[in-house]
Amino acid sequence: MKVLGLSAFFHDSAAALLVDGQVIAAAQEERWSRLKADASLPLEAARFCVTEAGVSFDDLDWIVFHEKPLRKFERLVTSALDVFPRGMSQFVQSMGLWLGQRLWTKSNIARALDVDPDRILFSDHHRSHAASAFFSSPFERAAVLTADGVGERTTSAIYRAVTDAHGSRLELVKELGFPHSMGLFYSALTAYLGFEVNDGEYKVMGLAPFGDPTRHLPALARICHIHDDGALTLDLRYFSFHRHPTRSFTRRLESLLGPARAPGSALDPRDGRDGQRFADIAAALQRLCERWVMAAAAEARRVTGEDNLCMAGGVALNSVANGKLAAAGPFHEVFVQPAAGDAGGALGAAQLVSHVALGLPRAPPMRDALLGSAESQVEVARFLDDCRIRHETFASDAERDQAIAERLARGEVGGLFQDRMEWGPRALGARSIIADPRSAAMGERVNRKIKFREQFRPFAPAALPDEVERFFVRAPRPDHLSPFMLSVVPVSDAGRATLGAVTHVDGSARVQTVDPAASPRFAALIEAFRARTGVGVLLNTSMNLKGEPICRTAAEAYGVFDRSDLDFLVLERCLVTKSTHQRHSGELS
Amino acid sequence: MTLRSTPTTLAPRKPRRRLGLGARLSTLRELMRHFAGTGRWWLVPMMTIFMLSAALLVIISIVEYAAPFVYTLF
Amino acid sequence: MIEHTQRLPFVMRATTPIAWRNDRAIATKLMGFAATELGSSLDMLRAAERTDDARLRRLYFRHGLDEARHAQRFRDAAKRVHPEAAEQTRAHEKLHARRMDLHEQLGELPFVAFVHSAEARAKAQFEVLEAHFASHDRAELATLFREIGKDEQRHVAYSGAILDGWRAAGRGAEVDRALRQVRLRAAWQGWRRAGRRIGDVMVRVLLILLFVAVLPLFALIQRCARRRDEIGWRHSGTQSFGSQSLGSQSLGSQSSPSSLDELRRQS
Repeated sequence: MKVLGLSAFFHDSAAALLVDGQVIAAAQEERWSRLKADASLPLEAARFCVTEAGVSFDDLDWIVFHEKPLRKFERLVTSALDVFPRGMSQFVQSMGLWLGQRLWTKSNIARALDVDPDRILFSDHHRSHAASAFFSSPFERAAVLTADGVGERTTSAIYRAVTDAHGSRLELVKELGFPHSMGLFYSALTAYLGFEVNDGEYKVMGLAPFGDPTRHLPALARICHIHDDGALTLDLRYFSFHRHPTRSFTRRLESLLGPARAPGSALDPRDGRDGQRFADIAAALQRLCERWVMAAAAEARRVTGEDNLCMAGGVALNSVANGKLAAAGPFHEVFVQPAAGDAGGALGAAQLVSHVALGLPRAPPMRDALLGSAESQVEVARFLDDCRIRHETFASDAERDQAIAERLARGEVGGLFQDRMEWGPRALGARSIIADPRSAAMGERVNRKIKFREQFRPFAPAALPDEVERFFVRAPRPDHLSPFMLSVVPVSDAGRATLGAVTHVDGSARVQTVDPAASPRFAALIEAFRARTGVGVLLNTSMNLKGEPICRTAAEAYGVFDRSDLDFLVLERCLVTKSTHQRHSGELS
Repeated sequence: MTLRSTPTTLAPRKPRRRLGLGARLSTLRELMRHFAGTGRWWLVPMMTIFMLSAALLVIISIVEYAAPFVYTLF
Repeated sequence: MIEHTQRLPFVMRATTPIAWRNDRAIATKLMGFAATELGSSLDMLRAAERTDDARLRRLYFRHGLDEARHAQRFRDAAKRVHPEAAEQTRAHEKLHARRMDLHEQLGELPFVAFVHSAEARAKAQFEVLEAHFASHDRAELATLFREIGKDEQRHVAYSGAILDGWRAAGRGAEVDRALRQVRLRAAWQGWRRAGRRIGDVMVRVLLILLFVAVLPLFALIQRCARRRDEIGWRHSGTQSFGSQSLGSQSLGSQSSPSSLDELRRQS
């Protein structure tokens, strides 16, 4: 049974293919279109998935879209009527989009893939999220908590998920309705802080540790009231996301918190003035989000009685909240699938059809996120030779890793391109920029000259399992989050003394545990670095420049190398260095 | 697990033109049934007016050489 | 390459002072150039992936890297000139920095003809802009256009050399036809763009009319019929499929397992 899942049209469209219940491939469309968080129909990602399986679209048994478009449309229409006579610009924009395109998703998919429309199915948005988390987890039964901006009408939901002798079931227990949404609240404040929505939330998380949450927490808690049972009520006088296409907060919010930050303006969280104010607001926002996650998780525990929790939806990408939940929350084990945002809906929809509707047995739990496209050593070498890029080729990974470790120890920063591309927003050693994590100056250099990011943004460490024990503080519970870099944990004293480039201002880090069984090549490289330096940790950030998606191909990786201050680039077993790198002039002949 | 035996980037086959009219009509029917089913009966006449407007735009857009209209505003 | 620029140099010279009249306008135009260069880069890199010819792969690839570098330079210049305008047009860039899959659509020879023609137009445009900014004491911008113009000159040269090679190999008629078709295609694309803009306006007008003329009545009906919004969690209970009555105030989610019948529904 071949089931292709698709997510599209809000942000971060993606495709995922399951064959007889096994995940063959999954990828986000942005990696092909090169448009960050591309929301258009993921044709190229879908094409990659079927090619990876050696089939064509004609061979698919089912194609499942991740949400119910007509239910979503109903919400938009009734919402427009509710806020009338306000909301004209929202109405004009959304109706134009829906009447012209999104209502006809079924026929659009059928035409684009050239398939019979009767083979197209439609899952529920939050159910797709829930399925993506549970069916990728190692649990036979679990509570599932989903939370994002909004699906059709739901903003958060609690499910009970079970796999037993009778098959798999995903039972909705309760849900929260639009417009009361932690995801939309977080996004509105992200916009207030001058960052781009659906992209800037990570920046807010990175900014928060610079601030004092107590200054603005009472004000935010008044406009985002968290009930004892984890429900949520927003004071809509402060928000306009339900009636304006681009502006998500009102002037009343600015009266409460002060003027909003102009997008793109300089931000120094330590300036003692506006920068500090924004950091304080970010801190309060983050604290409130954590409070809600804990309360909602407690409610999920209470109503399901389960010991394990799976989470999905954009809010589940809040790794600070995840870390606290995993360490001190009501559940013994917590799992989040790496593409927990809307892209994950594609995977979840396909899993829902495969395991619940069709009753196919579950696949082994997701251990690594390497589900995307790859280029073999032969393909990489051919690209380098055709483009006359001088490079060194190593006979083995071991030799390569030694050379890389040597360079890293010397203070060089390199790009690492190997294996299949990661699924989800994090780079986990397949499309990464790596560096020595030991000095804070290294972090500043990578931020300023390579990633061109705001200076307050931290970098993440990738560490071998025993080094995680040495340098970070983890709760004595099974850890399903850090292999996918989905939780922030405190750095130990030894870590603070050693890992200056990856320890954030509040002494925390979003560590990736690199298990040799799950990620052998990346683990071997870190091991080589440990042999050279005594520290089995690397600074790991994604291989992309600001505003661009993570690179997919060797050519794109080379483009990042060409346009930044990277010292070297590893493409499978080939090494290109800035000394061998030729500028193009004279080459175009 | 990889079953791939062909290059990653496969040249797409030119699709057979499916107009998708049948799918659109069934979507329309389902939409109206859904609105009626929610008890919000007033959405049915409202959507009928909207759909007639959308149909007008579709007809104009088919005449691409005259003035290709695209529905997406942004 | 600036695909949409159809103007002859003397027209460009006439319109440049208006189009680039102040810092805000300059930053906005530069961001537009960045978007177009980025789109071109994507097309060139895709062409490099698709072509079977090793030499062309190298040339397309290098060209793509150049375009990506140009995009970055235009973006950086825009931020320096007017940071706010640059930030405001960043979202606009997302819509226009798109790959057009020209290599796939046109085929190898017409693609090279297209590149040659487009690069020549870009070179001409950048020469005009270089002169404009030099005469207006904006040395930094003049330098930007001069340096990028040099790259465009190399793109014109290599693509021209490839076309000459095909001509020498007896494909002269094909080359000439492709170059003619580039001009026709550009005109057709211009026509379609105009049509799209008109269409956008008409759609907007129609929807505003709907909002003003149709919505009020139905909003009133909904207001009268609406029950108090429920706050807090909604329990799924034992709702079956399709029980969407007003009394239940369902959010539309189902508690039953996802069957194929239920999954066939879009609602």
